[in-house]
Amino acid sequence: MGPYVLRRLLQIPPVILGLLVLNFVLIHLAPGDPLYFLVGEGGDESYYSAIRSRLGLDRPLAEQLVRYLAGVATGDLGRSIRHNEPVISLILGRVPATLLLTGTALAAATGVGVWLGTLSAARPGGLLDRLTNGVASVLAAVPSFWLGQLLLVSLAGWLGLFPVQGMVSARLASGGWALIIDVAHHLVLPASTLALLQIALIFRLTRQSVRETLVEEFIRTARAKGLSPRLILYRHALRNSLLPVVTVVGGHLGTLLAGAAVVEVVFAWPGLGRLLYDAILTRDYPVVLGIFLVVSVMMVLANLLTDLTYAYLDPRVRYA
Amino acid sequence: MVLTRNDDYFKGGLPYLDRVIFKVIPQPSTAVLALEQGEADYLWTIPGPDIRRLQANPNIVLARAPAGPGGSFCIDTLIFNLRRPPFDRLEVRQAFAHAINRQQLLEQVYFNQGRIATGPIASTMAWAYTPDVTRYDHSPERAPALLDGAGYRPGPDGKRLKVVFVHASTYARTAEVIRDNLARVGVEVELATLEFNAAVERVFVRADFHLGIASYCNGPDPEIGVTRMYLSTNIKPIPFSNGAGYVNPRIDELFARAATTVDEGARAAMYHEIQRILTREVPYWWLIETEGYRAFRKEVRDLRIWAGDLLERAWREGTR
Repeated sequence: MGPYVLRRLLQIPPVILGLLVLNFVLIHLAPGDPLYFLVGEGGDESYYSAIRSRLGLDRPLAEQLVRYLAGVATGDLGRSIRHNEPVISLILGRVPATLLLTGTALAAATGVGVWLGTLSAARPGGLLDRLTNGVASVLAAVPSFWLGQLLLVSLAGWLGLFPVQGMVSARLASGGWALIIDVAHHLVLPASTLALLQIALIFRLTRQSVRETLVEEFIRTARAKGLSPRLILYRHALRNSLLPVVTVVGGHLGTLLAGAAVVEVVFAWPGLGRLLYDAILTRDYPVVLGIFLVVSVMMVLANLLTDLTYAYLDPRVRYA
Repeated sequence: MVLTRNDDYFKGGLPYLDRVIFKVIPQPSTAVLALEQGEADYLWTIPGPDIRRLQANPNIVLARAPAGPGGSFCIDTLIFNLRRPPFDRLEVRQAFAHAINRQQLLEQVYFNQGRIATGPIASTMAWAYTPDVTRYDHSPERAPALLDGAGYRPGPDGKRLKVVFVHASTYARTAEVIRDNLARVGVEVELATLEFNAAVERVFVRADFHLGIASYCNGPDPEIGVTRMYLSTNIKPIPFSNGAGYVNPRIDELFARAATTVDEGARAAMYHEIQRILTREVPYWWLIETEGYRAFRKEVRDLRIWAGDLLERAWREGTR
């Protein structure tokens, strides 16, 4: 196991470096200029060029790239052009809100998806199976902004059950439990939107996988031994069916930080996705690159984790 | 963003509010819902389709206000690139002015939030404005003769010429109406719908377009908001400058004199002459003087929608 882990760890730095360079070139290739947003109307040429040189945007692209890489190597992600704040503190300020949203959604989706998938696999063609299958097919095809707006208009608008936007009520005066309850209340709709979309996928995977396992010979043996159907389903079949589900959930781990941008915009959730969206529109290069970097690192780490789990579970992977 | 009351404000006892919270809600429909649900008190831009619903809501007050992204007295304006064919010909610009149905734009795209412009200075800037200018009413039947006169006769497919219309995505619906209007007189308009930043760069910095569009705001004085569009010395690669590339020494001279004249009557006379010259030469085509609604909840009192001091005397029922 040791050499395998070492080999995988050594692959990470070049991947990250490649991603950094690629991201840098891509964002600078896009037309537009951060200054149009910063200066706006009525600036004159000298003002533009003064700001351009202050931000270092007048240097050749290669030089900007080298400077940027040198900064990153020392842990400095630069300053936001628009907010004039260190990128790292902007990002760290947004991470908790996003993790709360995506973490809740993923946990809920995994629980509900696996549970429903197992239940409907136990009775293929039954009422529950047909119902959940139909709903899951629809959910899998629905875009997140549409689902989000639908929930918003119906549950928050017509019924008034939930707040419409944001993470805390603007008029909330006290902290403590009131704050926690308020945040949880705000969390329901955006988290449900994200979770419903993931449930569809996890449900279908679990269902398929459990159904395949249920026809294996060791299940027949278990039945012959006289084990209860419940025990067979949950202890023997489900456990052996979870590998593909773990893979998918592991993949989602990597997108935890960036996967909610659209939902964050719909619900005005103050997370990382929205920071990215705004940064792209205003061409705030350092922020865009910083978020790309954090997300890339997350992805690489999630992949590594998944691979290591595989190697742990299946010795053939280690020596391949 | 949270603003806190300034206890040392120079007018004793004012303002009444202790705190004002500004929230960015990127999705317009979410923002409207937040107002309807009472999560927000004041909304300063309202999507056209939502106006009627808000008007019918007894808890919400709507007020008209001059509106535009860049300040006051804004006119959504087509920019003809005078540096290259076909808009180097006056007849082509006149043909466009006759062919475009601004009444249709006002009703279908702006939801009557504004009025049809008559020239380079907004009618709401009453002291400088004159209605006594060359008008181009919507009469598409006059366009063919004008285009013939400029040498753009119909080809075998009935098309006379093709122009590239570069616009920000926020103008997508305006652009579609214009494309449809012009197709009726044999002009093919190719839409280049770009995101704001990219559109600004292509029109103002690279001048790589035939037709462009921008919201030019006149306020607070023509010297600030109007002059920049027409001075030959302001043909520069910076946003919202003289994007058409218009050069007329007489116009340069009039603006220069108006800028150094104190007497308002004398200044007005100069601006009147400027309006007469520019409406004859149509270097731009002034579409709609944009106005917008502001909406606030009826608990909020003494907001001053029109003035710079929006909140000086504002208070909220139940909190005073």
